[in-house]
Amino acid sequence: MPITIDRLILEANTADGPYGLDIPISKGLFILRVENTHGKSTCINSIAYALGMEMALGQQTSKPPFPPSLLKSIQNEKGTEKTVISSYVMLEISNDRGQTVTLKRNILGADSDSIITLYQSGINNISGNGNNLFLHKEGDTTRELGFYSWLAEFIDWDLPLVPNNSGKETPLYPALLFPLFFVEQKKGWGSIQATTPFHFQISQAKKRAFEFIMDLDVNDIVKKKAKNKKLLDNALEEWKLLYVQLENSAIRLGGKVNGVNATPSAKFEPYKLDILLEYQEKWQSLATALEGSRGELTLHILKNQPPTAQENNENRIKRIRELNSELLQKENKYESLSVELSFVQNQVEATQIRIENLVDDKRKYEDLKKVKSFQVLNDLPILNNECPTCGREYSDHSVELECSDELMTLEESLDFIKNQIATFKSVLHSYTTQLDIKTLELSNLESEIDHFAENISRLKQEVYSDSNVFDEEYLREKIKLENLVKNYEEALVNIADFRNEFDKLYVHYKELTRLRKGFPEHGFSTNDNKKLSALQKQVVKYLTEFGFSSFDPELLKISNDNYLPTREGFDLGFDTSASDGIRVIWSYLISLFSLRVTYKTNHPGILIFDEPRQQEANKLSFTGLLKGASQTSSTGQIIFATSEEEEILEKALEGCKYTLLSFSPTEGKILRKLE
Amino acid sequence: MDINDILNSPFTFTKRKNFNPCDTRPLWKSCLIVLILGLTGKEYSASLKKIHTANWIVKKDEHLISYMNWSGKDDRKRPNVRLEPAIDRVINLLVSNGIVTKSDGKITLTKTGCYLLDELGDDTIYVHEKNSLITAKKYLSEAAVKRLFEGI
Repeated sequence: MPITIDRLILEANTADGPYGLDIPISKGLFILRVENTHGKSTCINSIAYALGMEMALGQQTSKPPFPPSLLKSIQNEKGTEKTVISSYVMLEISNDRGQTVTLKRNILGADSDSIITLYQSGINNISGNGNNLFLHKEGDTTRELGFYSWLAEFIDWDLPLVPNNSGKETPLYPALLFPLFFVEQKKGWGSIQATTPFHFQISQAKKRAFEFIMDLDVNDIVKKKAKNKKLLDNALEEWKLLYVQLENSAIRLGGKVNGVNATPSAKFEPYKLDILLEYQEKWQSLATALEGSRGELTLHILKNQPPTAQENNENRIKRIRELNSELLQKENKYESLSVELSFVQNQVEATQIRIENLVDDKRKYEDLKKVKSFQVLNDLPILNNECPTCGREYSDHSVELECSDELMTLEESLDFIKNQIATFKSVLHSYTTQLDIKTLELSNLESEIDHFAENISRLKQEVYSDSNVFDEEYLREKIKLENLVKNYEEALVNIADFRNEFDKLYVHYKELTRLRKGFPEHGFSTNDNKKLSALQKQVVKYLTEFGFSSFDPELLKISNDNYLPTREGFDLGFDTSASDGIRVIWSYLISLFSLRVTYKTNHPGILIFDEPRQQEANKLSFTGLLKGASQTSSTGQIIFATSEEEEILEKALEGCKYTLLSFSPTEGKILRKLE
Repeated sequence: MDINDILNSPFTFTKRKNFNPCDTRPLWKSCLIVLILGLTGKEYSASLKKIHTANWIVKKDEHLISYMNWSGKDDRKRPNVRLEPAIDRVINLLVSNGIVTKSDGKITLTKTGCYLLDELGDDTIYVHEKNSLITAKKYLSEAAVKRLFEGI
């Protein structure tokens, strides 16, 4: 995993001959001391440029991050400007698998923005033309000849796919990782990962980069959660399907389902699953109805068969009248039931719409609650509804900013919505129960009406036909009862199967919900938590060592939401002085660097700092910070570019291991004419 | 009849605080505008009309469907987009907070706006709004929005 930068060459060709520099860089703490404005940042930026990381220097375009001395004209010792014809950077790097390579990239010249040439040897042994790798084009992280794809392989990074703003997945570009081990001079000290580029459209790029560098399991856990959710959804879908089948069986018999719901509830007892039937004007279980029907059939058969067609027509006419009167009653009942049913249906629809709106509003309020915790909003007046011009508070209502009525707070609104949802859900439940019962009653009534109409029509026919026919009514009743008993018996067998199926599904569902409960709350594994708490401990330790004074470093926590140092859940923004802000960035990045010794992380074992330009009056001395860096750098490489006096550096680092390469101010700028 | 006679004991009324839907809260709307600029804008920039159109689209699924059916083609199906005055107020708030800038009739995200957009990238928030914007993105070009208001 760790890589080392071994040598840097910068060269600009002019009509006067080549100008440039050649810097051997050693492992451990390497300090490059150059006067301000003498080429310090040019050297450091050229490392980023050779690694194809110019996008991660806080600039929006891929233009080379260099001064005119490498792009237009360079001054010679006498101060005369010489036009630059071409310029390039060469960087020799090696990894822990013993591979040493040289990267060459034009700064001024053909294909400077899209080609990096790779030589499979150190600078001294270069032979041949090398391989051209492309960058800043589609496929640069995935194809064999893509530079970032090669770089990831060289560092031994397995770049993950992460979600982008369009809802698709895209590889995690190395330029997003770079600000976690490279701090640029101008923008890099504004905050942690300040120069992370945005144009890749990756959602939460900084978080994703941190998770990868720390090799957190959180992504795996998120994936496992998603899989569990899918299985749960499937189980729910199966349950629903099974329920519909059961419901259909019940409807065929004119009954309703009991003991099981359309979705699995906390408890399920298979023996309670049943179909209730309206038998003798009461809702009774299928078994009871079957028993009753069998009894009715036996009684019917036992009854002596009445003499065939002996009744006279008068009796029949009397019966027709009775049936007509009953039919009229049933029809009236049917009409009033239809009106009631239509009213209940409307109520159900209206309540469902109301609940949908409430759930949507709840989701929005929950989103807003999360938004309120965003660090980026901490310093902005919009967070507290303050006018940025006059400081006056405005109402939390965009339609009426001057509204003087007291509005509910976020929490109160959420509680209010939750209560409303609960209320409307219970209203909906009551309406749907009514709807089910009324639908069933209506359908039963329909069959009864049909039955009456049929009987009337049949009796009318019998009145006017020959009377020597076999008593059809008796036979019809017998067949009806036989069919009923048969249907009930079949349904009883089916119910046993349903019980079995529901029970199996319920056990599976229970197991999945048990697994879901077992997932860590924030998605962090035990190992992740260990890493994060070790990082926190290390940052606090360094801050104490480096003289952090804005508040007690022990109060500092690493946020589980964005992995940045926070105090009591808030960003450090206003709580720290400018110099303490630099201490925080320094400590944080060095801690990330040092954690790779104790834990498995994806950190490349290299850390590069370009000292910030500071106001002379309140200048922060980096000498104290360097001591800490020296101790931890033995396992990798820390490169620090500074303009601090040489003697001060040597005095401060007495007894520490480091390599100092110092360019004296008397020798002028470091890009000099080459021999 | 006097109410005191009915209740027959002393009583007081307490006024409940007013409830307002979340999408009328300035901060919620602000984040929506940042998402509109970030997800549908060209280089994080869009015209006022486009913001109004996108805001109308995310309000209801029916709006999205109606816009997609028109999709800049059939003038007979041209949806009737409602302009919401609150949007202009919220944009002014965003400008004064340094989250967006206004110039030449374009509203553009600043660096702070980009930071906010990055935070809003969280997969668990504004999910419905993001999906609607991503679906409509292809048909939300400035030219399409112009046709929407002026006819084909």
